[in-house]
Amino acid sequence: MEVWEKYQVSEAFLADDHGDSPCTDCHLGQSGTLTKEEAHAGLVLDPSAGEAPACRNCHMDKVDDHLASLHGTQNGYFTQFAQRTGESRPSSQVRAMFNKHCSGCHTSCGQCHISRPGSVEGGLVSGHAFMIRPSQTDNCTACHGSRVGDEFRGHNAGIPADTHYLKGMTCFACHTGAEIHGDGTTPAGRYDAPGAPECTDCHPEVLTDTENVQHRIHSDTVACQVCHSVEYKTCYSCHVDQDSRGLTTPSRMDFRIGRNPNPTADRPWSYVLVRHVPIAPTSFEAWGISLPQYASAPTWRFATPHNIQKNTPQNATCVACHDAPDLFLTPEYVDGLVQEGLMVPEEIQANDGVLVRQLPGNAVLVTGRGEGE
Amino acid sequence: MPILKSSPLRHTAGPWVVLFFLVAALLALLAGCSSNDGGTRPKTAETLTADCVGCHTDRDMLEATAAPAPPTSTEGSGEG
Repeated sequence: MEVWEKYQVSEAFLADDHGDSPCTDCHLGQSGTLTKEEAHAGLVLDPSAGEAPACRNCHMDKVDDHLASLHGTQNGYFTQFAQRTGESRPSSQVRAMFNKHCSGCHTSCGQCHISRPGSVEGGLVSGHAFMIRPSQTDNCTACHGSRVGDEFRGHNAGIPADTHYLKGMTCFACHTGAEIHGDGTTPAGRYDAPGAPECTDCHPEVLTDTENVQHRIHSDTVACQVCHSVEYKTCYSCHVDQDSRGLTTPSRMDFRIGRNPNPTADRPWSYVLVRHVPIAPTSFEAWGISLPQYASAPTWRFATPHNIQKNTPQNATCVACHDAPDLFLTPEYVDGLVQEGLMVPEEIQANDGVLVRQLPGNAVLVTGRGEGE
Repeated sequence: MPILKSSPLRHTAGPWVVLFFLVAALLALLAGCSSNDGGTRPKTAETLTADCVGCHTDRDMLEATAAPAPPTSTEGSGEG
């Protein structure tokens, strides 16, 4: 997007109710001046940032819900900070680090409904027209692009697009405004958000399926993605050991089944897909932040890849999964990653609850530490 | 007394005075609408090129004045 395009206002916006208000009502600045500099004196580029008073005048409930939501608070990060630091409230150092390195992804009303997010350098999406439904490309996957967006559209070499994408579905088919805006509460993380989608919202028959033996056997114990996802991106070096470009090792395509470290009523399965989130005990030392409870949470996290397929290599036959240790997050696999320098040794303990030491339903024991769980 | 009826003032200047004030009031009204309206849309493309919408709907002006976006301090390509 050219620089000038980012700021071009369209007739569609001028014809909209929002276009009737003077620009300076929201953006301040000076109208009736003869130079750009004079006109932009005191300009507020994103009037919907922070408490969003401009939006709140008419959309009080939605704004209040957003301010408490994950997009408004990024509370998922703070949940993890609290768990690994052992501090229930973020310290000033955590706040400072967060504001420097993480809050760029903080979003506002306007960064979903008017412009591209600031984290991708902004720009009006449709000439300042207010979009009730954001643009999947310019808004959703502008931020959620490197994993979700690429998986969903089939942009990873050799990996097909998500079957829902191929049927013409968009993000909003599953992720509704009710989920994105929230209900005024602040969830601990994305999977705890009110209204977060479940596969069975659209496929309830799977839970009572008696014809498909695989569904009958596995639906209570195995997350849907374990059978219906394919290789997805996982990351190693970020936050741990960076070169001048911020990376030492590119992401890799992988597929790993781990044990569910935290079964809940919504996620009761014994086996789930996991994706590596690179963090080391020393990741935040430069900010004076230590992680005394580093090992209290895994670095292989519950994952829901967006590349769903009806038929996958692992659901082709029973042995395609049950005799396939390469699909599982085994101690041997993790040891190899540590030796390769992609994981730090402390991660072995952190992931103790996720590692698969014995292939499910199979007498073959995977050798390694902690056998006989 | 027929002095007014026959006054040269009434026959020559009166209508012009009334017309002058009418035109002046109309001009003042138009000027008031177009001087500083806080950036609402221009009534015509020519009248209000110095307000917000006048500039931000003018592609040529935007291309001529747009400055390269300042570098951002954010990292990477997103949460994923």
